[in-house]
Amino acid sequence: MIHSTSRRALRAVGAATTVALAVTLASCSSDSSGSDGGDIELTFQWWGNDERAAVTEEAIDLFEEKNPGITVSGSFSTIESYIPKLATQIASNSAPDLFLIPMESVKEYAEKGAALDLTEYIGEEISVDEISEATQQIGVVGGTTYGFTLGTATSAWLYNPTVWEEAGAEAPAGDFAWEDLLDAGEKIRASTDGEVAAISDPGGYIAWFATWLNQQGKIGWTEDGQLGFEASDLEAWFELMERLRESGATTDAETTTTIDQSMQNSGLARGVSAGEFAAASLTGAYADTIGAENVALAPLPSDTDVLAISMAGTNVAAIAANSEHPEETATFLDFLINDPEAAEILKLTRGIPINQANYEALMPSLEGADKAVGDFVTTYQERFSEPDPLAPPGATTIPADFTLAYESIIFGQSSIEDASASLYEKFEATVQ
Amino acid sequence: MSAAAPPIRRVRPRYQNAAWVFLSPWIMGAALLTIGPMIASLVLSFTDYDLFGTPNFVGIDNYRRMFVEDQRFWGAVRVTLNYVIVAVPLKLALALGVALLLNRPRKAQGFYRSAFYAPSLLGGSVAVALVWRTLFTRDGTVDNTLSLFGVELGGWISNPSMALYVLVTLAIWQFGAPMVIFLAGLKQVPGELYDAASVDGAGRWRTFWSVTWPLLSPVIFFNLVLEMIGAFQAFTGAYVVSGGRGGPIDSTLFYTLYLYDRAFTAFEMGYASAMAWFLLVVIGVVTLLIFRSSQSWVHYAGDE
Repeated sequence: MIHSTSRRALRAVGAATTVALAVTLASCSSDSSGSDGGDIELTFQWWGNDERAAVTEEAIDLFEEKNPGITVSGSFSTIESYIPKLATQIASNSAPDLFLIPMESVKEYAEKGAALDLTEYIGEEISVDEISEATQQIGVVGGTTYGFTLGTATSAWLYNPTVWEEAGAEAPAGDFAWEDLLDAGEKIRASTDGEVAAISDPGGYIAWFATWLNQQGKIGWTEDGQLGFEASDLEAWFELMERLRESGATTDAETTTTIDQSMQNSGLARGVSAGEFAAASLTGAYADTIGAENVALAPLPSDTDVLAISMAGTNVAAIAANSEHPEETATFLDFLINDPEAAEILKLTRGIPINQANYEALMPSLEGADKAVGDFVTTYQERFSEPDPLAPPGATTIPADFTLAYESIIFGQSSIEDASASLYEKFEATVQ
Repeated sequence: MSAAAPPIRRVRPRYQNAAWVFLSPWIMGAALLTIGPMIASLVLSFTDYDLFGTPNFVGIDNYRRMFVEDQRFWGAVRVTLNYVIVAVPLKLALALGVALLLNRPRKAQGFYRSAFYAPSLLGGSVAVALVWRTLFTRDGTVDNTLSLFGVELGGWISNPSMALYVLVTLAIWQFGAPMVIFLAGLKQVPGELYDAASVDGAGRWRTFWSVTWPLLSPVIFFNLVLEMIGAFQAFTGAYVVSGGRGGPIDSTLFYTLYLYDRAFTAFEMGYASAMAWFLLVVIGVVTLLIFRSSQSWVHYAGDE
């Protein structure tokens, strides 16, 4: 009869659906507590290029060897896609156990409770004996340690000595003024049929504006979170950039927009400029791309005798606030910072190792790009300054606003006065 | 007609329970994955949710900021409208034109159909957008090819006045999908009407307007609505070609791209939710207008 058939069919369908649901739910449940009792799995996330990933994976393998029972699965991406990805993971409580925070977001993430307070692990899992006080401060927000930087670096002027030599221009050293770029630019353009600029246009990046401010004794955000400069400073910076751009010393507007913060798309790597300002920790990546003989370091140009170069953190490695294995993650962090073999593997990929003993042991054996960075630090160490205080939390969008304002200037869409005024308003909004 | 028809009794469908069981996965999906998040988004649009902390109610602050204070918002609206108004008609015109050409029996018709359809299968992907970006960079393939003919147009995606049209081209290149639908529609036009028209001495153009267009109008209407809704939501091309930033001076800052930027770079989730709902309302209104207008220009067979 139809009745009994349909009821049987109903029961069968009901049973099948229940089984299907049960299986799906079971497989969805988190298995981070280990499938074969005792094996702890940590997740580690960083940004960078392929070469940095390779050495990081090597260091991870070494850690797993030394710590049977812990496996670390690492993942990485470019810096642009890193931040949205990390934010989403933190919001959905699936943050990696250990992750790097970009410097401009450190305060924000710490204050929002995304990073674990590391006080109880210092001296236990994490040794700070060989780390200077100043370097330890890099991961401190509001008096509490939320992380440690994996390397310090200065910003530097990475230039191509081959191109400078062929142009007959005197290579930059510690006494290069901004206006000297005009002359160097002419020579370089002349010797390359107008194809290559002296430097990639730095005007749209807040980091170089901040350096230029420091050179004049001013500052971006003061220690107590106030602005340390005026709108007229913005105007002066943009006007300097305009002089350089119009003379051909820097890249033209269209080329500049195609340059983003990544090394691969940079002017120096693509050969459209003979140098640019970047973090010294990227020297290795440049050397891998265009050859170590084509990369050299110099301090940024300065019109005063303040170079405004400081050893800043390149990132802050933090442990997720809701990590299931904070102790093991702290052990892993300690490994990355303090283990001498790890230092051998990682070398200067994220900057100078913060463990003094490791760095000193590493120095004599550095080669190629790493050696160039080490020599640069040694040469100019005495002229380094203190790093600027961390930007206030609302400042995460300022770098993008700065670039946008600059783009509207170089494409002639707005005047320097107007762009500076509206940009300054955005700065003021961060300190209210 | 029967004199006394028996009253119609509502018979309970026998398999109604089974129907619900079979539908339940879809209903759960719709509720949990679509309707639920939509309601959450609407609620969040009245808060200052920043992805980390708890949301606080801020009333219509987000909407006020959107409409009154935010210049970039209106810039994004302009760019998106520009894109929709240019890309959709061109894409449909191209689709219709090629469909008309392919409608006549010719050799390798199947091959051409597949060849034109293929881009629309891949088109929305990141991979193709990356290829597009590489093709149109300064001194890229397109530039070099043009300069062979002595045409020096300079940069494409690095030029604020050209960057958007690179994206329009990417959209138009995917005309294959609407084209295939037009082809199907064209096949339904009765051949006798064409014969009658040619007997009456109608030229090609007249035939098109008086025979093809009216009978094809339901298909055109369908394609128009679909393409328009898709164009308002375009994201991948703009994101990849401009590197996520909205191109030189926001010239490729599509509405969805700005929304993404507010949500995941500035962590202004409440604001982004408000933007999302405004987009929904706008698309709804435009669709409604097209539907209303359809009464005057869309002819369904069997209407007379």
